[in-house]
Amino acid sequence: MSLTRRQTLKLGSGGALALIISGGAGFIDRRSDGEVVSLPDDPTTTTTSTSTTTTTAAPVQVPSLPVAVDAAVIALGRRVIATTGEDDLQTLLRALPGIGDDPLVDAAAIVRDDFAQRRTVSVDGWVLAESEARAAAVVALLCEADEC
Amino acid sequence: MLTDARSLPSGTRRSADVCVIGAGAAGITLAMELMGSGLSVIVLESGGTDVEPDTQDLAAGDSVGRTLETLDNPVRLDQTRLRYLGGTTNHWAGFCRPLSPIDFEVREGLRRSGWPISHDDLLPYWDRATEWVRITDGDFGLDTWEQRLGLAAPAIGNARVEPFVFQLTYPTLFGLLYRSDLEASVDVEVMLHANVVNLATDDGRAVTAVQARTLEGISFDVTATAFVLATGGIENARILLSSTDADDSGLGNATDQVGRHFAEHLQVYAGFGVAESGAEALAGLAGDEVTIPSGRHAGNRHGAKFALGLTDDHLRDEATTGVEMQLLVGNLDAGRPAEEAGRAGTSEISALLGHRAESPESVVSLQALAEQELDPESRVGLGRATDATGMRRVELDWRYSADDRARVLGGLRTIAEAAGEAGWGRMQLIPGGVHADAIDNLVQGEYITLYSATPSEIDLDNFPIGVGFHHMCTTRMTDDRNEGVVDPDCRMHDVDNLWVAGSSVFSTPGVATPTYTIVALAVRLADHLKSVLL
Repeated sequence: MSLTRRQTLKLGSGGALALIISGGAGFIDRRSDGEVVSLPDDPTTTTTSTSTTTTTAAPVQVPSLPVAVDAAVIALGRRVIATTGEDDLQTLLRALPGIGDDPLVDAAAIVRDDFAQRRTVSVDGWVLAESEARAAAVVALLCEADEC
Repeated sequence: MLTDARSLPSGTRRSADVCVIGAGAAGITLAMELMGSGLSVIVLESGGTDVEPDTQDLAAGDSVGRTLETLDNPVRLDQTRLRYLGGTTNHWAGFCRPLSPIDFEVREGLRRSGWPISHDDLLPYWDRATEWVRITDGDFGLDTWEQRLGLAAPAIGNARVEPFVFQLTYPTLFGLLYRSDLEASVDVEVMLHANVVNLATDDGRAVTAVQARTLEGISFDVTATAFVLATGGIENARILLSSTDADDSGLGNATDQVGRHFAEHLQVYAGFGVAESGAEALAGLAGDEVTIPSGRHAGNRHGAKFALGLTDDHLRDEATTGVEMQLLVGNLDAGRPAEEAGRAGTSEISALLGHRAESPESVVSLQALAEQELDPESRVGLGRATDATGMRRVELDWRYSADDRARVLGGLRTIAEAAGEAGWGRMQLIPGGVHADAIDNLVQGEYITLYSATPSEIDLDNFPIGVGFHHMCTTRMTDDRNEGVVDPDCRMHDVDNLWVAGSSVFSTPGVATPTYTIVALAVRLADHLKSVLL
C-alpha cells in the first residue's frame, strides 16, 4: 500500500491523525483566540490555516498539508519508533483503525477504547494508547519522507 | 496527671488497673477512652514533652534488609519513629482514610492475607476515631465530599480504578492536643522518661510487672491487672523479644511469630501527568478545607482531598495488592520534570493532547503508596549492640519481593490507563527517576523540597522504593496462634493479661495510611478492656 497524497490528506482529515486531532487537536493550529481550525474534508478547497499560535515550539509548516504539524508531535513519533522498533509506514497504517473508513470516525473514542482494553504502549514512561502512538509514528515517518 | 519517672526513688513499685506502654496515637487514645471509666491507668512514656536526643537514640538500630529510604535519601530507623509525648504523631502528615473491605478478606495468591475480624466490625470504631484524629466524621463517601468541598473528584473511574477521599487532619499531634486533658486527669497518670526494658513474667503466661528505667539509672516497676503494649510496630516486637524471663525467644513467642511479617508501605514517586483539559481537570485535586460541625473539636478546620486507587473488585480479580496515587498540583515550581534531549517529555505529550504550548497548570506529579505481600522472613529482630538502658538494639530485616515491585508497576499502569480511558490525560511512569534533592528534618517533620526527574534512569527491575514510616503486622491479629501473635481482641495468644495496640496488630497492611485505623483499634480495645475489667 503506497501512501498517496490523497491518502495523506485523508489521514489528516478523518483517519489516523484524527485519532489525535479528536483527542486534543495536537496536529492543528489554534487561532490566537483559541478557536480550533477544522481540517477540511476536501483538500482541493483548502486554504492554509497558519494562524498565530502560542506555542513555544515552532510548528513545522508543511506545504502539502493544510495544517501545521507540531514539531513536538513529530518528536514523539520518533520516540515511538525508537521504542517499538516499528518503522514501516505501511505496517503502521494497517494497524491503525480508521484508515479508509468514514472520515468522521470518532478518533477520541478509539483512543479511549484502546485504554479501556489496555492496548497501551510505554514510551519514555508515558502510557499511550496504541492507536495514538502509531499515529504519531506515522506523522514522524511522513515528515521524514517530506510528505507532510 | 503528668509525672516524671526521674523523680521516683529507685526501686519504686507503682500499680494501676491498666498499664499502657507508650504515649503515641494508640496509647493516648486508650488513655483518653479509659479516662473517667473507673479504671486507674498508668501510661509509661519513654520521652518527655519534646525531642530529646538521648532518648531518641534508643530508637536507633540496624537495618539489614531492604534499604530504608525516601526519594533516594537514606533514612535511619530512629528517624522513622519518635519517642516523646504524642509519639510518631509528632511528624504525622495527617492523612486519614479507613481500610477497604478487601483488606479484611483472605485473598487467593497472597500469603497471610485477611483479618479475623471484618470491615464492618471496625466501622463504629472508625466513626469514634474521628473525634480523636480531629476530622469531620466517618463518612468517606465520594458524593458526600464532593458536596462538602464543592469540588469534583477526578473524573477517572472504571471497573479497576476509582477516586476516593482523604480527610486531612492538620496534623493532630496527640501529645500537644491532649496534654491538658492528661494533666488534668486524676485517674490517668502519664509518666515521662520511663523506658520499659522488660515485661517480667514467672511462667510466660502472664506479665507480673513492667520493669522500666530512666536514662539517669533509676529503676522502677509497675504492676497492673492489664498491660497494653502501644509502642509502635517495631518497638512492640522489640520489647516482647527482649522480655526473656521465661523463654529466651521472648514473651509470647512460642510459635516464633513475634516480629515476623514486618510490612511497610511502598512509597513510589511515580512520575508525572499531563491533563487534557488543563487546569480545570486539576481543580479538585488540591482539595479544600471544611469545618467540623460538632463534637469535641467543633469549629476546627481540616482538609480533604481526592486521590485514586484500585477497586476492591480489581484487587480481588487480579489477586494483586493495593496501590493508591495522589496527583499533586503545585509541587513542580522548584523541580520541573526534566526534559531530556531526545526523549518524550511533557512538551511532547502536551502537543499530543492539543496544548499548543505546554501549560504548567496542566502538569501534576504522581505520588503512590502501595501495599506489600506479607513475608514471614521480613522481620524485626534484636541486634548485638545495646542501648543506654541495656536493651539490645533493634535489627530490622525488611523484605519485599520482585513480585511486589511488579504489582506496584501493574497498579500504576492500571491507573494511567484509566486516566487515558476517562479522557483525563496521560501519565508518565518513571518510578525511581524522581528524586528529592533535600529532606530537611525527618524528626520534626518531613520536608521534601525539590523534585527532579530523569526518565533515562528508569530501572523497572530495581527502582528505589521509599518507606512511609508505617510499621505494620509484627504482632499480627489472627485466630491461629501459629500465624500471628494476638487474638481478635488484641490480647496475646499466649499471655493472658497482655494486649497489644497499634499497627503491629494489623493482620494485612492494606494500602490506607494506618494512623486512623490505629486509633480506631485503640478505641475498640478500650471498650474491650472496660468489658473485661469493670
